[in-house]
Parts: sequence; C-alpha cells; structure tokens
Amino acid sequence: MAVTIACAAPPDADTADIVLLPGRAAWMPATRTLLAADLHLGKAATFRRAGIPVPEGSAQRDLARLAGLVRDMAAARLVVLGDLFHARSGCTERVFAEFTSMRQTIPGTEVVLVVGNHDRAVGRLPADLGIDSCLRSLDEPPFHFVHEPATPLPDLDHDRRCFTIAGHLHPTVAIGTPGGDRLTDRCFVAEPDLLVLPAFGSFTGGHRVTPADGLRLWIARDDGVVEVTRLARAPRRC
Amino acid sequence: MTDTLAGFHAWFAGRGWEAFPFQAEAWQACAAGTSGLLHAPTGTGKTLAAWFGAIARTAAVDAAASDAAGARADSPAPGLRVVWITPLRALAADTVRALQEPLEKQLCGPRAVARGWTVGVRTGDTSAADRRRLRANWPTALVTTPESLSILLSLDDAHEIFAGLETVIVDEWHELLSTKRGVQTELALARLRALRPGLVSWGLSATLANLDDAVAALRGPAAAADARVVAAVVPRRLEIETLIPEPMERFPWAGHMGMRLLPQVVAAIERAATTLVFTNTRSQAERWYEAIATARPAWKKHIALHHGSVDRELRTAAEDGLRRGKLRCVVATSSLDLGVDFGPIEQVIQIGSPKGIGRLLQRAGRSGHTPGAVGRLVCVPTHALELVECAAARTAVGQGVVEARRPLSGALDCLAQHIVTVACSGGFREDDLRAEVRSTRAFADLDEASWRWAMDFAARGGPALAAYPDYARIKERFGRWYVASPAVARRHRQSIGTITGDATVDVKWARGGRLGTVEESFLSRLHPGDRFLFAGKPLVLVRFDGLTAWVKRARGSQGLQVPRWNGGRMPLSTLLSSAVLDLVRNAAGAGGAAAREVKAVQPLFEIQARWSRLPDHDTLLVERWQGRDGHHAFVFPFAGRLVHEGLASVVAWRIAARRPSTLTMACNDWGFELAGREPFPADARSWRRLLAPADLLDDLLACLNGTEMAKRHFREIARVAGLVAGGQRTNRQTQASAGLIFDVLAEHDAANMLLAQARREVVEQQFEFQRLRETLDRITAQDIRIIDTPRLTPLAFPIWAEFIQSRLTTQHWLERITEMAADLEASASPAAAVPGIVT
Repeated sequence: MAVTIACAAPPDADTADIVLLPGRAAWMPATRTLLAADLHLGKAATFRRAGIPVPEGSAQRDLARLAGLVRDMAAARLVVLGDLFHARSGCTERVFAEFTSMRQTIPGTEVVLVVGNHDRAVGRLPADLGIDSCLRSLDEPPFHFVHEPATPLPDLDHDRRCFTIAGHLHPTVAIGTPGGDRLTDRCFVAEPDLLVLPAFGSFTGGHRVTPADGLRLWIARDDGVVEVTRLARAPRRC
Repeated sequence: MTDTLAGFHAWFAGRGWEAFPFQAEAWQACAAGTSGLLHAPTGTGKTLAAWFGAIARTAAVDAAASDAAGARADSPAPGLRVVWITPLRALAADTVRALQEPLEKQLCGPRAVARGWTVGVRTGDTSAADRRRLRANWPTALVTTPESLSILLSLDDAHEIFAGLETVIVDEWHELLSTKRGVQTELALARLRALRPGLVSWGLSATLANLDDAVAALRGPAAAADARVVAAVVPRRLEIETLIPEPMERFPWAGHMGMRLLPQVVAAIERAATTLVFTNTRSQAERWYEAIATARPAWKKHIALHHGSVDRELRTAAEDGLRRGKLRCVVATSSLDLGVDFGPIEQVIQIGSPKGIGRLLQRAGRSGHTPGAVGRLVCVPTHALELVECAAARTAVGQGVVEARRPLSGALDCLAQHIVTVACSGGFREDDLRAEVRSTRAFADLDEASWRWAMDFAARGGPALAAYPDYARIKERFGRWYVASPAVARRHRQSIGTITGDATVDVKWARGGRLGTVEESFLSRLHPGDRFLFAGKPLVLVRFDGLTAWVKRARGSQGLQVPRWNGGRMPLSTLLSSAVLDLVRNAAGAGGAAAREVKAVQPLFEIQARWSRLPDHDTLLVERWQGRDGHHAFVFPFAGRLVHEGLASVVAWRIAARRPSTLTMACNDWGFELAGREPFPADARSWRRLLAPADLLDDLLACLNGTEMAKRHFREIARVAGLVAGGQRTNRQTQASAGLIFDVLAEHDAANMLLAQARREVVEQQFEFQRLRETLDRITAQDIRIIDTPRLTPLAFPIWAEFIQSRLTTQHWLERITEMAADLEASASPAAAVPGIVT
C-alpha cells in the first residue's frame, strides 16, 4: 500500500491521500477529514492553578485557528488525535465554554476525539461540549487513527496495508547548513507506514526527532509547510 | 571586653601563632557594634577574624543585658545569635568545622567566652529530619546559603527565629556580589535589618577595585558611610610561571584542551608533593583527569577529580584526601576556588588562560599556605595565543592591579520572589516593604511603576487582569498582604531552594551507587551502548529512563565522549584585554625585551604580519576571507568576549536591516567573526557606519528580536520569578521550557516587565553595555584597515574554530530554508579546505 503525502497546495494536493496544511493540521481529501493533534487546551490555566503566572490567550487563538481551518477546507469531519485537554486542574468552566463556542461556529462538521493520555487523565467530559464521538482509536482501512504511535493494534495484523496516523510525540526538527545557519521548529514526521502530526496547540513543548533512513520531515508553521528531510541534523556529538 | 580580646590573643599564642593586626581590628570593631567589610587574599585568616568578632559582639551584648539585670551570664541567650552566609552549600560543612574547632580544644580564649555555643547548618542538602530538629532547637550560630536564608525568612515565625540575632557574616561576598544571588542576599539582609535594627553585618571578600560598591551592597547605601573597611595585609610570596610548548611550531593555533602540554604538566606534578590542577570548564577537568591517570597509572589512587557535577560524596572524599595529604593531585574547576583551607598544597596548575587577575590570585592563593612558604602557580596555555594572556596576567599580578565586580541592580525577578517570601512570613504593609526594598543598593533607584508592576505580578500575574484568571500568589486583607494559600507558600519555598536552572539527570551505577549529574541535553543524545567520560571514569550507558542514566564501567578509553556542561565561560577582563593588546603591539619589534611567552609566539605574529597586519591601539583591523561555506569578516577590537558578542550582533543587525539576510556570529576575547552568503564591505567608510556609536542602544534592542539571546537569558529570570519550576521532580503537568513561556508572554502579555528585564540584562550584562559604548567611541578615533586574506590568519583562526555562538536573521523562514538547501548542494562537493590544527 502506498499512501501519498503532499504539502499544502495543488497540484499534488488533489490526488494525495494526506495533505499537510499550514498551521500544523492535515487534510484527507477522500473523506474530507481535517486532522489535528495535541491541542492541550487549559494548559495555561493548569499553570496558573499551580501558582505560575502564564497569561491566557493561546487557547482561544488555537481554537479560532482550528475553526478557521475547518471552514476553509469545508471539512465534513474533524478528527482530534488526542490530548485535546491538558489536565483536570486546568479544565475550568471557561476552557469548556471556549471549546463549546468554537464548536458552535462549525455546526455542519462531525467532531471526533481519539482519546489521548492527557484526555484520559481529565476524565469524563461534559456531554454538551459538542464532541460527537470519543474513541480509543479509529480504524478506516488502510488508515488507523490513534494518539500514541506505538499503541499496538488490537484486531488488525500490523502489516503494510495499514497506515497509522498519530500525535502525542510533539515532534520538532533541527536543520542546518555547514555555514552555521541553524533552525529548530515543529514538524510532521513520516515513516513508510506512519505519520505523526506536530502539536497543534501553541503552548506545548517539543521532542526533537533524530533523522534516520526512511524518515521524512516537514517543518510546519502557520504560513507554510516545507519538506526538510535532507536538511535535518542529528544532534551534535561532542 | 578587653578580657575577651585578650582571651583570643591567648588562644592564638597557645597554637604558636600571633594574631594579625587586621584580625584584632575586626574583633574590636565587631564587638563595638560596627559593621564592615574585610578584604584579603584567600587563606589569610578572614574566617577567624569575623568569627571571633561575632562571638565578642554577642558576649558584649549579653554582658550589657545581664549587667542591667544584675546577673551574670554563663551561656548565651537562647536562640539564633549569628548567621553565617556562604555562597556554596558544598562549603557549609567545612565552614561549620572551621567555626567549631576553636570552641572545642582549649578552655581558654573563645571557648571561655562562647560557653554553651552550638554551630548548626542549614542548606539545600539538609534533610527534612535535620530541618525539623533545627526548628525545635536553634543553634547559636547557623551556617547557611542565600537560598536557605530566604526560605527561613519565608517561615511564618521568621520574626521569632531571628529575634535574638546580633551578627550576620557574608563569606566570599565578592563571589555573590555580581550575581542574582547577591541581589537575593541584599534583600535578605534588608529583611534581617528590619527584624533586628541594630544588626551588625560583615562581609568577607577578596580584594576588589570597587570596595565601596561591595560595602554599599552589604549595608545599603545609607549606612555605608559608617561601615569599616579592613584590609588584611599579609606578607606572602607568589611565583607565577608559564609552560612554554616545545617545539612551538607544533603547538595548535586554537583549541580548548591543551593536551599537547601533558608531558610537561605531568613532570610538574611529579616535582611537587601536592598539586591542584585548575581548569576553566568541567569538560576540561574530565579530560585532564583521564589524561593524567593514563599517563601515570601508578598515581591512580593518588589523584582525584572535583567539579560541580560530581557526586557530593566523591567530592568530599577528594577534599578529605587533600586535607590529610593523601593525594598527590586533584583536578578541579571553580568548585574548589572557594572554601576553607585544604591544607598542604605545594603548587597550583592553571589549565587555560585565567581570564582575570582576581581569579588568578584566588587560585594561586590555594598554594603555599604554611607561614613563610612560597605560593607557586604554573599557567598552561591551551593554544598559542593564550601564551600572551598568561604573560599579560603574570605582568598584571606583578603590578598589583585587580578587577572590579559590579553589583546588579533593578532585578525585578528577584524582587517578585522576595515579595512573595515576605508575604509568606506573616505578611507586610506595602509602604513598609517598599521602603525596606529601597534601602538596598540593588533597588535604591526602584521607581514606582516597577514596584507597582512587581506587586501586581505577585498578586495577579500581571497588570492585564483579564489575561490571568484563577491566579493569585498574594492577597490583601485589612491593609496587609499575605500569601494566597499554604499550597502557594509551599511551592514558593521549593522554588527558592533550587539553584540550578538546567534540567539535570542523575548518573548511577547499574548495580547501585551514585556518580553525579549531567545535563539532560547531553544525555538525551546518547544511545545505550555509547561510551562517555564522567567523574573520571570511562562509562557505558546501559539505559536512560528520563530521570536517571544507568551506567557501567567501559573498557579502554578510546572514543569516549565528554559531556559538555553549560557553564558560562568567563570573558577576558578589561584590564587583561588592554594588557594583551599592549603585548601584541609590542611583539613586533620588542626583541629581547619581550616576555618569554611572547617570544615563543613571535613566529606566529610574524605570520600574522605577513598575511595581514598586527593590531595596535590606533588601528582597528578587519580581515575578509572567503571560504567554501561563504564570506567571513573578522574584526579585532580587543574588548573581551561579551563586548564582541554585542558588537557582532549590532553589526550583523545593521547589515541585515538593509537587506533581508541571515548572518552567523562567533567571537573570542580578541575579536569577532561574521559569516554570511554575501561579501562584507571592503571600504573603511562602510565599516565606520556599521561601527558608529549613534543609535547603539536602539539597534541592540532591535537586534535582540533577531537573535535567540534574550530568550536564552530569560531562562534564569523565569526561574527566579517562579515562572518555571526549578529542580527535577516537578509535576509533569506544569513542565514548560522557559523559551515557550517567553513566546507566550511575548504574544499575550507583551508589556510583561520580565521580558523587558531579559532584554535589559542581555544588553547590560551579556554585552557589558558600558564597555561596548566605550569600545565604539574608541573606534571612531581609530584608523580602520580592511585586509583581504588568502587564508585564515593566526588571529582569525581561533575565532573561526569557536563554535558558532549565535545567528541573526531578518529573512522569512521559507526563503532561509531554500537558501539552506542551496548551500547543502554547494557543499556536497569535496569538503572545504581549512587549516587542520584543532585539538
């Protein structure tokens, strides 16, 4: 099975299985599905509850961005690949209200949450949030949607006919040249049978990916996506 | 009182010593209730001068009280009477021993005066059980660190704990002075003075050029005039020599390890009974320890390694070995710069340039402690040009000059922390605390807006009320400010206690036993099976579980990696830089008059003169060189690493402001390098414009947005202000990097004054703004000479060989990546030819 991945814009975008979008989301034209992972809503509130003064604002902006992408793509379905919410202590009325009002701006779209480790810790979500289904994983052969890429598949034998799409890792990549220019940023990572999305939420940390054979990497920013597989640098040895 | 002092003299006499006049002067002044500063080189008896002074003071106060009550005092009034602040918790145990010793052995002297005295210790290492024991029964004298003192001040019964305090001594004050911890100490001293208005305070310091600043910081500017400054004059001979590599031609032009001189160093260690080898970085210490042990396997049991990341137990073993004369050699970093006497050390070897005269003196002072002995220091350059720095330092010591250490001011992160500290200990009235804070040197000029902001920050997160819902650290009730909840107080005390801001990882034997800590960034790039050098042992990583690295011993020492710790490298001081330029300028025609070190590098200067030219006071040298990887410009202002970092940023900014581009920068103490894809100007007029003093501050602030510097610097500020949790065992849900917090603040609370502080501190401290401005002013009067060089010159090469320090960009990221890809294509052809002499 060969899944094709394309960046953002046409011409390949129309025929690809998965299109990587600016703003750290992905698009699947065949099912008109928008994918986003690791929003970590309420993380700032969790910090404030613990006495650390982190300002509010990033969550509202991330939600507005998400709704904007849903509208721009006219998505039939939004699949959140886990860690929609950060922690129980940060899930205030206000955070839920912000999510609900975002939900109301995209009434025609189905919202699916693939539950992540943080979501599990948050516990039962209010029924009126507007999430249509909460699943442990979602199987639509050949695609398998899950939060943690390593989660073993229960009833599918893990052969090449299956392509996993996941989040959880918050991947980042460092690129550079011999001339000394260096840049680190969030990225999409793909293996032949796996795609990991960058964290969608802006108040989230990152985990550096070590480049390896067969690994493709794309830097993902709000205003563009660009493949950097050949520029990726392994952590420097000293 | 005369009895007391006579007793002290008798105690000295009893050991065959005689008290120095400065010691007697300090005793007298302290007993009479005068505060002051005592400055002297290491190991001259400052501790006894201050300690007996504090004993005499307490005795005098108790005697006066018992006279008034008509009774005789047999033991000190209960409770804490003396606080002894030491900068490193590693020193606390030694200090306790040094303070206890005179109270134990004889019944005369201090023992007679200080009957019933106890000495205790409280640092970050003190166990919870010991802390409880302390709280139940305070010792007469407590040895502590600035952090631990702040924690004590945050306890709700702080005013009772310190109710009987008479004297506070700050040891190694010069070491704290120019740091955030110095500001923290100033605030703590102000708090103690508020609790005990008659408090006597003494600072112990190495000699500094700006002693009056040190006194003002200790006592507060208003009381500085009444303070006594006592200089310890102790006759002491010091011999400094430099190892000259033979043959000089094979000595590298750049590098940080200096291994080429290993045979000479081993020979020098062989000559002396005990040697302390000082290195400038922990990586150097690891390498040198390993190299010496390999060169002389027979010494294996008689050499030790000592640096800040090695486990406490191993360090203590090294210190004990030194004290008892069991060790031939200890390889150490600045972790052994401070502290009480280590006993019979015959010579000190300094690997790499000492970078400052004060530091050289401090390290040299470790040797030859016995009366009449000669202190011996051997400088070991790590590359050719360091010979000149060694010569300059040696000359400067001969001339008796020394650097200044500037105290910091206006650190709002420290202020925000202190406000919560005081709120924890029974609350405060705003007017009182503001006046108290303004009585310190650090905050004497604190304006109302900054104070208001710091209060708002503690109370509401920031002035933008809406941006910080559900947040409060302090709350006002009936005109007093209290901590918002016991949980906030608990968390605050935890965050005061942490010193290190970097995430560190424990290194443990797979079979049990701890070796020390390394920075997480180093470990995260190792894989199981990788070999590295740590605590002087070749190790193999077995597994790493995120908090602990489990290791076993590796066989052989081939291909070992050395951890790179993020310790700041010291810049060459202004005094030394100028001395270096003098030597370089004279090197050309000095001939027989030159110092030995300079003579040795003469051939190098001849090459420099042939390929380019030698810099001097009237000329600014600019070299242009084109390598395979792009265009380079090297500029040599001789103003020290930090100033060069600032200059490089400004010049890069001024170039990139005209046309979107990305430039990389590197620097050392002699000059800086810019590299980019376009050629640099070839005419003096353009360079004069790039180096113009006009708009310096504006351009510096503007270019900070184009570099990662302010963000990097923000880490420490964020930790002190309580924005990121220090230490390792924090709640996983509230872990965030300072960089991420910086971004969130910049986007959603741009007026946050901590961001402004980060920028200001980068400008003032990281770039030494004053010195930077003076450098640019000097350049306006200089002739600018631009020379195109066919290859890297001896002066340019060491800068080129530095790791790239930072980069500045005004380009859009997509364009930048496109250019990077193009660069990669270009360099895929055979590797660029460069001079291949890096060790």
